[in-house]
Amino acid sequence: MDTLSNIVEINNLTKKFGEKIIFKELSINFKEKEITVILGPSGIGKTTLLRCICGLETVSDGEITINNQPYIKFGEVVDKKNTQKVLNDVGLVFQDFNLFPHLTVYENIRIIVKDDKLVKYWLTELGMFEKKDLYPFELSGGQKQRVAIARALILKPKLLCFDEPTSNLDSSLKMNIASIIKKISKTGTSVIIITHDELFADAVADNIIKFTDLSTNVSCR
Amino acid sequence: MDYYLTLINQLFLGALVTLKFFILIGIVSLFFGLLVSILGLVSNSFIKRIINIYVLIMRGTPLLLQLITIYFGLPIIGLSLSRTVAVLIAFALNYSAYFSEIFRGGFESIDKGQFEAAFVLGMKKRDTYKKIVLPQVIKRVLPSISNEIITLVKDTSLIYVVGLGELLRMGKIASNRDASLVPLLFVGLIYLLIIYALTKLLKRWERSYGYFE
Repeated sequence: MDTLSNIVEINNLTKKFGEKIIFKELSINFKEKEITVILGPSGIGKTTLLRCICGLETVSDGEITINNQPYIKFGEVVDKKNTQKVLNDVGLVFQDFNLFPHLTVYENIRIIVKDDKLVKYWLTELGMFEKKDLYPFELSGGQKQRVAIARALILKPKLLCFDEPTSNLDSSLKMNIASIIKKISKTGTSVIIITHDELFADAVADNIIKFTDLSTNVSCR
Repeated sequence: MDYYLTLINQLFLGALVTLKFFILIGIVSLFFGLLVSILGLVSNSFIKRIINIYVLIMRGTPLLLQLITIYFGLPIIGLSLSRTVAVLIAFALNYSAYFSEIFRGGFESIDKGQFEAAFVLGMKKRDTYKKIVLPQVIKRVLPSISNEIITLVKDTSLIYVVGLGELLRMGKIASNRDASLVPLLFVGLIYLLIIYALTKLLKRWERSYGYFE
């Protein structure tokens, strides 16, 4: 018997850019406390789907429910005034990390939550406390990623999303990030990862959803 | 020797007037330029159109003409302004337009990812602009802003047209009085000194933003 509930439920989601259909009537459930990898070639719409879940894209039609809270219904945000409240449960680690270049590692996190103990905790957990006074341009790709992860985790999201987490990393660091993600998942945080890296997906995922063509109806439950 | 001391004293008074207007206009224009550019980013299309027309008029007509219109033209419709106020308004309107375009370019050059990162981290729009975007914009626009500031020092010489005794006017008066070009040579040297000092200050300001890339 399946006892885990869903952290994200997507029903009949359609997304268009102009006349171009990115995905049509897509229905997927993402189980909570698990690492779900969406695997597929570049350009198929995986990142767009992730961006819809994180509130960075509008949708044309359909529903998104996050942590049992309705976020989007009939293609519209349900409660525009409380959107942030729903999205607070979602964290995102961008493919390009998007660290704030004028702030040190420490400040990049402290600007979100002014709690020095918590900032120190997450930087230490991610092995970046010693680099806390450096600026992003002084960090390697792997180090930037760890800072981006710490920054996303500081808000204690129930769901942490990763957009192509291995694309800016040397192959030697890919398994390193896989073990960090598994460690995060063990704390009870649900994880959704977008990637085209099959080896990485196999190493890290509890579930893998393969996308080949999203422009026709896709249902993955 | 007495002649030169008297001349320098006269030119020094003119330089003080130049600097007074330069500082006042500079501060007001930078503030309004930033305000206009932010308004242009967050407003509806109607306000954006008004801003575009304003910038076109200010950049499309000579500053001297704008100054003459405000000081000599407005009294025709019953609005008389003092020379100081007329100069401040004309220059502020003109330079704010230039600064607003520089700031606009700066804002538009900021990667969309910075705004998105702030959004997913729950930052309010105001904090995003103030703490994340603006510091990066300032670093990018400083060279262009510095250029305009240096131009402003020299443009203040235009205020002679409303009879204010700034540096160049004082030099011309002395030159005509003494039938000599020496006063104008001194004027040139004083402008050079002012701009040299300003350039050093502006370079220091730019370097202060050099701690990040």
